[in-house]
Amino acid sequence: MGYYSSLLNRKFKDVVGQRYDEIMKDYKEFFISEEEYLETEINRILFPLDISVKRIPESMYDLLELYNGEITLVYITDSYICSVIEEVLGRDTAENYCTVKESMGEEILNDVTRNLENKELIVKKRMFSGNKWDDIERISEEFDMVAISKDYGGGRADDNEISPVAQRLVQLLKVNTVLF
Amino acid sequence: MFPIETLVAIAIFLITYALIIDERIHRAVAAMSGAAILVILGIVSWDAMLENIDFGTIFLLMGMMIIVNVASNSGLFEYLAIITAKSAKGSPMRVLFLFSIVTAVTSAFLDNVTTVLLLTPMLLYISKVMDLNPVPFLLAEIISSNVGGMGTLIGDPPNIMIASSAGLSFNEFLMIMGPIALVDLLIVLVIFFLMYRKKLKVDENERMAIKNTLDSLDERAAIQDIELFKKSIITLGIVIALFFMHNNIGEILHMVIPFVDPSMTLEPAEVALIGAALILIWSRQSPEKIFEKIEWPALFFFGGLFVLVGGLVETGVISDIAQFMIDNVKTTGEAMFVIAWFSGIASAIVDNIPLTAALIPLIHDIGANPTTAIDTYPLWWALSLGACLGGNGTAIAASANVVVIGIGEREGIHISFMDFLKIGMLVLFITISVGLLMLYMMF
Repeated sequence: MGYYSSLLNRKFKDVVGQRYDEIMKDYKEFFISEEEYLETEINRILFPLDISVKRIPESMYDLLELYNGEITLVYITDSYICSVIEEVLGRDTAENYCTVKESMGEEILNDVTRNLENKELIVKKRMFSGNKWDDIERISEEFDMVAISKDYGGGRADDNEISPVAQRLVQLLKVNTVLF
Repeated sequence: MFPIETLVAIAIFLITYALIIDERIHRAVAAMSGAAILVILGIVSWDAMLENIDFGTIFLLMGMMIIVNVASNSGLFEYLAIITAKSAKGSPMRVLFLFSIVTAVTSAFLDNVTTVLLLTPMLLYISKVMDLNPVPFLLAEIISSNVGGMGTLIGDPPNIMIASSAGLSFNEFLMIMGPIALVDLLIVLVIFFLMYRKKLKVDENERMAIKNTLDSLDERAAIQDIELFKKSIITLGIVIALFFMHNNIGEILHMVIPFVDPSMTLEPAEVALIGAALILIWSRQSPEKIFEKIEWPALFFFGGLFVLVGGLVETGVISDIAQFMIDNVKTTGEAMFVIAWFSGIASAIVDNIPLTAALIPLIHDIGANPTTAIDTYPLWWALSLGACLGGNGTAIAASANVVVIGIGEREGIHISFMDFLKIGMLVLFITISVGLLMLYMMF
């Protein structure tokens, strides 16, 4: 039936011309692609915390309860800042700074974990020293969704609604991302 | 022995016909080239060429193309498709029925190609949502568009050509072909129900899931321009109302404006051009863009075709065939039978537009012969019946078939020639038989 197919293609081209492409363009917004049609399953949620993000807003609890996935809280102490302090002020000062930072992080993680567990959500926590931009991007691949505060990584400037770290992460992350 | 110009006219007609079927050369180019050769060789003179072109058909098509192009910019068809999908409440069989009915009704008033071109993408989307084989839906849409198109004067190009040439009115078409189209559509739906009722079954949970997905479509979002949407509906309403009144418009206007001649009538082409002018003035759409969208190739195809058939008329080929028919067919009933089945089966194999163009002068010649007892009036309906329903016979028999199957191919859905033939021929034989029976009862 090769002749039939080629005949049909010729006829279709002549009868329809460019009209079909125009119509498909107009219809596009009504159609859901194969990927969009599949309901995304959110089982693992990454939740970065730091000194600028000490608590989770009420609206986010509703979203997290809706997905009912496993939430991993992560607190990253900035290794670059520790190394700069070490070079300028010496090792002891740097160790002291990092210890204080880690204990603050521990406190924030415990606080948020308690709040989430009170809502009967499954929570894990991780803390390590590294780079917020690179490490969040790297570990995000293990998760179905990342929830990032607009303040993450140092808060917002007066003329910007979103911190530079959060902005960069939203642009780079390949998984579903919620910005709050 | 035939004179040489007769043989040349037949040869050019047949070669052009073969090129039109094959479409290796665009059918408009093929028809125009054939016509040009006839004129250059002097078989058809310049004056005769102009006389042979049926401008009633060409202007009617042009006017309707303008109206449809403006209306489609408003999102009217998408709106219709979403409303239809929602009304089905998640039942696949109801989707098939409702889309078939909407396609048939829309095809009755607008051209089939535009109708299926705009409804098919939505139908494919819905069958994807339902996770069902889209082939039954596409086949039902094709067949419904051909059956629906038969019901009115403006529904299908063969009807436009017949009405323009025989001087038949919109109401005559609606009163005679309308009921046949309605009965045939019901029969088609029953055939589809019997063939696909088991394959298109979903359980209650699936039905609810489909319903929820379809309900999430927003028909209001489909309207691209609410003002244009309203103006399109009003203009289409006015045009359809004028079609109903075109034969006695003088009587109606005379009651309001006394100096209007009560015997005044409007040609269907005039109605379409009035509608086109109205929507262009009212909608403020760019005429350049709308005129660009007119299917000029189709209009030139018609023009060339009329000249080609004119060559057969001028050389006496058509009158010879008419004489042969008169000699062998004695009654109107026999002639109706022959014309309906010949045009039906031939339309399944070749394009029904050139076929109708060739048969119109034949019926005129039969009527013009003083020795015949055949009444030509029922023959026009037999021709309309055969030419429109013959389009269901094969996958390439009508433009709507080609468009829907072509869209399917592009989206990875293959309907083979044989797949179509099985249901197409069954529908063709049943619908023509029923239609012919109804015509016998009417005349």
